[in-house]
Formats: sequence, structure tokens, C-alpha cells
Amino acid sequence: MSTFSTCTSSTRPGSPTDGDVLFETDTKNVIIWDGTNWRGYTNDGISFGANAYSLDFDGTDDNITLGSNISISGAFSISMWVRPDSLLGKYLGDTATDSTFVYVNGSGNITFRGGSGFTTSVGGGSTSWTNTAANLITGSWQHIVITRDTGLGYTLWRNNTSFTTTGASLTDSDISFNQIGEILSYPYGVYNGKFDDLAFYNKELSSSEVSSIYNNNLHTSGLVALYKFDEGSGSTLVDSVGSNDGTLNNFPASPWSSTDKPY
Amino acid sequence: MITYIILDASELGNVDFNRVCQTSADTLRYSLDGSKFLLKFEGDTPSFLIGEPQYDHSEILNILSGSEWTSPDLLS
Repeated sequence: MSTFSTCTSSTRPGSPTDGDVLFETDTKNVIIWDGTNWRGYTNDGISFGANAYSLDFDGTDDNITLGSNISISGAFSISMWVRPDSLLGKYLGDTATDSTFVYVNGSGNITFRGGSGFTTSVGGGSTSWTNTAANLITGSWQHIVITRDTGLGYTLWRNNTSFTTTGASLTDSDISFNQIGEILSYPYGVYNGKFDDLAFYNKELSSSEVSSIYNNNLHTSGLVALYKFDEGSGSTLVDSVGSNDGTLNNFPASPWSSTDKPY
Repeated sequence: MITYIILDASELGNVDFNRVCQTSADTLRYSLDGSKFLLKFEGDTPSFLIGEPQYDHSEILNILSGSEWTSPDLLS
């Protein structure tokens, strides 16, 4: 039996040699230097590697429809990287009932709505984060995580910093997503910008798990669906965990970017 | 270079979806009153769109942000 050298996610070797293998004591992951990037492997088999592409939504009508709805009742988490060119729009949605969405207003305030019992009245009654530090900005990659605990308490993470909700009064535990980028039947703005690495979990991510995703792109247990946005061609967005692939709608021939990506 | 065009809903039957970026009639974006829809294409202008006003990305975003295409901000 061999024993790997150890490090932490913040003390990785600065000048690694191709093929170096280490065990990270804080994340419990095995990492391998491929000559350019660290590749990591989790204990549940979900791996990460070099990020190949991001996908550009033009803000007019580009969207992705998932094969079936991602429905979760109880605790959940959603993780995604976004680089908005403009702020206003629906980033995730549900074409069937339009009762669930992740919406950003023109000031960058993020709102989550889920289930038929939720309200989105202006100025209150919605699950939103109006702290200025939580606001999205244009022209910069940002890691966004929305978590809900078993008591239906919501937390927003923006670039590894957490924010509690403002004006939250939510009792409906059901959420259902099936579209990325836009809800054609409910036109409150279309997502305009780049998108990468969307993951749905059936649990509330801990702070260390959010940090692991943010710093190392390491996805942990509880994944329901994982979209790496690394296809680079074609009209299918692959679900790396299950079989709930998405279909790209209305995109031009080459919407993928190999240079503008979060990591 | 992507070029954008707005057509009246009555012209839907003339659209050749093999020549535009839109996937199908089911994925078209319509104006709020349903009277117009958006098309976009790359390269040469498809024959069925010759003579229609054309817009670049910046111009079409400005048009689509107007009240004819986008409802007021939910949480302004």
C-alpha cells in the first residue's frame, strides 16, 4: 500500500511536476497535476478537471430546456457560475408553471421563487437578497450558490460569502426547474452573459462544501444534476450525474468560449 | 456576425428554420402582444428575409428592453 503526500486546498505545491499526486486533508480529495491544472477526484466518484468551455447567452432568446423537470422538496442547493453582460433577467426557470425561478433585477438583486405558494410582490414577500454586497455585477465571473435547509431557511453565497434572505416568507417546499436562461412565456428579461458549471443538490451545502466548489470546482455528494458546460459543440448540454440532458435553443453556431470562463 | 430581424407574426409561415439560429417555431420569442417575433442569422441574409430591417446585437437588445417586448422589472 502506498501513501500519498498531503497538503490542503490552500497549500498545494507551487511548482508541481507532471503526475504529482497528493491527498488534501481539508477537502478529503485526491488531486493530480496534469501539467497545466490540478485534477481532483472525490470520494463519491464525481471528478473535476480543466474547465474547457463556458456558454454565451446573447440576451435575446438563447435558452436551454432540460429533458425533464428537476423537482426537489425539502433541503436543496443550486450552484452556478455566471458572468452577466447585463443584469436583468431570469437565469433559471420553469416553463411548465413559471412558479420557480432565479431572477435578477436591474440592480443585481437576486430573487428566488419556488412553488405555487410563493409570492413575488415587489418590495417584500419574496425570497430575495438586497444587501448591496450580495448583488451581481456585470463583466465579472461570479459563483452563486442558493441553499435551503430543512426548515426552509434560505442562504445566498456569492463568491464564497454568505448572505441571509431579506423579506423571506416561504412555506411551499416544492421547487421545479427545467430551463436555463429564459422563460419564454413570462418575459421579465432574458439572461445575457456567460454561464458555466450548474449543479443541483438534494441537500443544503455546508460552508466548507461551498468553499470547495468555489476554490476547487469540487462537487460533493447529494448531486441531482451537474452541467459542466464543456461540450464545445452541438445542441446538447450533458448532465454528468444523471440523464437529464438539456437542449440548446436558438443559439448561433459557436456560442461556446474556451477563453472566457471562471477558472 | 449575427444579424437580428423582427417579423410580423403573420409571416411565420415564410420562415425557413434551416437558415436562422432559432430552433423551431416553438422556441420563438414574441413581443408581449404576440404580434411580432424575433429571428437571427449568421452570414448572408436568407432570401426570405431580404428587404427586412436588420439590427446588430446592441440595437436589438435596446429594442427588446422596451415595453413592447419586456415587462417591467419585477423588483426594481
